[in-house]
Amino acid sequence: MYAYVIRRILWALPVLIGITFTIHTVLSLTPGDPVRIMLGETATEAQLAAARAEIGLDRPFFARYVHYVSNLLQGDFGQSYRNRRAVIDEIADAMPATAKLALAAMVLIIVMGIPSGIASAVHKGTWFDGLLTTVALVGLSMPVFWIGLIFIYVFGFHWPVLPIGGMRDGFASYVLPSITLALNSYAMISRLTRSSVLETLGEDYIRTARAKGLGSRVVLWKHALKAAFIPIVTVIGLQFGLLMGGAVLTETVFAWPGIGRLMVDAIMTRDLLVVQGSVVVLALVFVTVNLLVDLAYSVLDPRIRYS
Amino acid sequence: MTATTAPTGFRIRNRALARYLKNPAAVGATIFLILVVLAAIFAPHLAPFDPFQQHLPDRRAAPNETYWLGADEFGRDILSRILYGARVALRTGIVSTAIGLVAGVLLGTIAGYVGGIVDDLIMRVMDVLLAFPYLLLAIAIVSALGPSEFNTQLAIAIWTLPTFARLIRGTVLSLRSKEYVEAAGALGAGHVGIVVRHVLPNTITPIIVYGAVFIARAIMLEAALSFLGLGAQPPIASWGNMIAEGRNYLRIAPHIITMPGIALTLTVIAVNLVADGLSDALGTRSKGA
Amino acid sequence: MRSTFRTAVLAVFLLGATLIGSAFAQSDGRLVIVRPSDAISLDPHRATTAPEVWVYNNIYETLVVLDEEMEIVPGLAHSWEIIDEERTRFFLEEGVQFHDGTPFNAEAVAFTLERAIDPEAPARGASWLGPIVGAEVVDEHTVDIVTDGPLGPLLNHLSMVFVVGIVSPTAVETYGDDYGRNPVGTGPFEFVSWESNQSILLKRNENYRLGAPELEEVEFRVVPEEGSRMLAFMRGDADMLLRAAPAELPMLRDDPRVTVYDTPGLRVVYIGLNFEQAPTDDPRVRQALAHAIDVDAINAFVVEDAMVEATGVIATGVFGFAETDVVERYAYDPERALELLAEAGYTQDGSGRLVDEAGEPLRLVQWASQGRDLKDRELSETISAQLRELGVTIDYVQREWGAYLAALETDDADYNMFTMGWVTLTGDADFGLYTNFHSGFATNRANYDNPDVDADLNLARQSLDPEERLAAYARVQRQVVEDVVWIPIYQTQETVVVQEWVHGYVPHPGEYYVRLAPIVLER
Repeated sequence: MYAYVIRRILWALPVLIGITFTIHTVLSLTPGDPVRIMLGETATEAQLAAARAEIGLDRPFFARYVHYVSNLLQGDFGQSYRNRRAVIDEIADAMPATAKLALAAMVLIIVMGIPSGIASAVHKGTWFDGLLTTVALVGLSMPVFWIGLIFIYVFGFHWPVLPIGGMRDGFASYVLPSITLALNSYAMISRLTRSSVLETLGEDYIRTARAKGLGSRVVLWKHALKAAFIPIVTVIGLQFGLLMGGAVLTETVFAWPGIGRLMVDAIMTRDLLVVQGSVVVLALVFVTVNLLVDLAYSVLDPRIRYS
Repeated sequence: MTATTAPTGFRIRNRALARYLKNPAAVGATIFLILVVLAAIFAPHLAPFDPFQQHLPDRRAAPNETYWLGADEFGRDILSRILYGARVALRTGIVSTAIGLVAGVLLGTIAGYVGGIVDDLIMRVMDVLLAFPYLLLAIAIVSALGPSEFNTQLAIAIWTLPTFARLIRGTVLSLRSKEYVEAAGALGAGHVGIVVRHVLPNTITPIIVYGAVFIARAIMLEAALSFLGLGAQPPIASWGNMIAEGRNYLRIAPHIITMPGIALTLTVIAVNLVADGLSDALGTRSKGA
Repeated sequence: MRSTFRTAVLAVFLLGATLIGSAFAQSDGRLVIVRPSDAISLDPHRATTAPEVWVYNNIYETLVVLDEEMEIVPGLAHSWEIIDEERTRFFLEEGVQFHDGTPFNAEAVAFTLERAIDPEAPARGASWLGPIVGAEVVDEHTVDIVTDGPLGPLLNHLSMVFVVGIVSPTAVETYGDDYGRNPVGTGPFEFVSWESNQSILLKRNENYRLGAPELEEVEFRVVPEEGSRMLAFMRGDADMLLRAAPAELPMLRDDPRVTVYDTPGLRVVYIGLNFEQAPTDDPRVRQALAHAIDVDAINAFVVEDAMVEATGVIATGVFGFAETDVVERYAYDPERALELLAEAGYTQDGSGRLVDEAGEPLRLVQWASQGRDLKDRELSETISAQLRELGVTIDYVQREWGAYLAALETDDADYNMFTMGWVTLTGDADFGLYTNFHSGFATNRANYDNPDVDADLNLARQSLDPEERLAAYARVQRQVVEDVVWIPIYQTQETVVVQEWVHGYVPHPGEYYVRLAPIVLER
């Protein structure tokens, strides 16, 4: 098992290099001079040249990349082109907001998605199942940013009961953004749980249990819960990337000061090191989460081998 | 449409079709999608107005007799724009999924079939693509290539590619060890022949199901990119664009974003229902994925 | 079923708890301002766009100040005298301290000016300072500003807080690259904290040289979505609203609970035409475009009359603005536009499309910015639609401001038309005309090159005679209008909306100068 963990950590290394290289390449291909954006419309040629030299943009593509990676290995993420702040500070400012929002969404996904999936499976074919699957289907099919705007209209204007932007109103600030962010993933998990429970229990089994009456409901739920463990774990792993993407949109709509907005702003202004740094940090989290998920799998389901 | 008239050689598919037709939700969704496709094709004949024509004095008009679904911030007819927007949605859904699928099948097959370093290399690249937060790579790619409909489709395709590649590779690996494939190899069948004759038919079911799921997601992703200003360029009417442009008038004219949002949601629901129906009928697990 | 029920009850409970937890508490002496985007940096030499200048023009001061009447009045310098053509002497206020206790003196002025023009330093506005070459300390409270040749608009240049806001030398040295997050000036408010993309908090400077402001604290919040920003303000989440949505302004003006301040601004938003790209290199095509665009309709229906019609290439309040016949000359007249295009060789084919003799369509590349100037995207889209209606084939490219600016700077930028705004924040025509119409200047994006205009711009820059300068600027403006370099759309109207309990705000034509010191809250 230790060998497996070590192998997984080593596996993360090429992935991280690949990620930084990909984003480095893509942003280098992007038209527009970052120095120009940094210094503005009226910067003189001398200033542009000085700035280019300062941040190393006068060096060739590969040299810049190698320089970046070697700094990264020493824990140096570089400075933002745009405001000369340390990239790590920019990320440290934005990360907690996103982490809190993602956590709130994750709680909603687990607390709502898994029970509704199990309930749906246990009551397969009833109106209740119909309702829950419909909700899940609609939830799966609604664009995050659109439902966010609709929420703002309904709960911010029509019935002005909830904060509609920023995170300074305490717990209440989280309600709309976290529901918005959770919606797609909630739907996926609910559906995944339902089909996975159905598969484990077998429809005949359910029918038998139901025939036996209410007493075995409890047994049924126990079986169902056991079957749902794997999806629970999967949620945490697979939904992470999706949540981060959804965060870009949710944060824009709800004025949430998180890493999603930081990255989009940085892409738009060619702030290469901020983009690279954010992607590296997120990928690190992603890789770690997936590692933990895989380990959890093996604990929950001994049949899964470390291959 | 009727299953009974199909030739006997297609009995399995026949049975799947029969199962599909017994699923009222899937059938309803299919009919809805056919209507959407027809609306997209015949948009010029169906639309009451030119979708680009601005009627500035009527800007933000609420739904009325002239503008059935209201007018947008330029006084353009929302109904006409939704009809034309269906074209962009369907085109993006299908083209981007198709690009991702073809590339994914190609890479997945090579990885699974050749194995060794090639396999490692391809799959590590796929890992890299999958480790990017959803949307982010697409945003970066579109801003590098410049916003346009095709570049958006390409960016979405790159996002779907790793899933297809992994799927196909898995199937190829499990098939490669199967006796009849080995036998075909022993009998001197070429690699391409083996792939076309044995490997692809065995992956067609998951491909169909995943394809449908990804069409739904591609439509949503296009809308998201448009929302960030990185989708189809104005004045082209895409549903995402319509929401993006109308959002400033949320307080005074919410119908501008409501209408295209509903069109988008209904279409994606329909595609998802078809995907569910296909997966049930073909006996593949894809729910939730 | 029971468990499902329990889950449902739990969900309802959670939701209820969050509702109760919602509280919009605000301290009484705090003014909350909502604006569209966050500051980049609060270092005035690093970042010079509205989101940060709105904040730091309350933190920093300048030697001289451009007041609401567009007059130059004393700031940190109480008086000045011209020593010779290349040297002006400034006498500084005594006993002033920066927020960190550093004494304000000639040393600090020299430090700031050096930093503002040094190519190695941040110095974003260096080229705006043109021929200013440095500052020399005479004594503790006297400093000379030295120019390379005479500089007519010297005082106006020195009023730009976003270029020469006086910074605390000790703070700059202490914080280094982090100075932008730890700004220290002499102004009425001191920096307290900054939560990225969320809010910036200032508190009053108890030792402000003109007396501490009434306001205890000021909070600048970021709400990017226009719809949400309007909602937040109307709900009372904020006291002051910057960049109100034009479509909602009439409603706000009628609302007794809010006060709307308007004042003619200094920005002109225009469509620039590229002189180095066919077919806009042809004067007939440019004239035709001027007649083909219905500016009045745009101002009425797209800009919703929130702005005023532009009557020139610089704003009316700017020193050097001259009356031109731009409004009549560019009057909306599609017939005339078609005639001019026919002269240039483009006629409508069977389907109404404009084509040249070879049957090639008249194709224009139109670039539009989004999120910079008010309704920039929308007005660009309407212009597209108007030109299409005439039969012009438009390649429309729209970008977010950052990406837009970057794209404009690339060498192979192939636009024919571009949407842009220019604000003459110094209040002197030099800053609006030299920068945009002098050949070879970086922001001359129309690639306009006219030796006569260059000569007049040089003359006016170096002259110290106001009459001579006015005459030169008038010639430049007439020529530029005749050559159709820009099609001006609107001149800004600076609109600030406040709740009824906010009193004492004095609007300033300069869009960056949201000066909060006089404000009093009466809740």
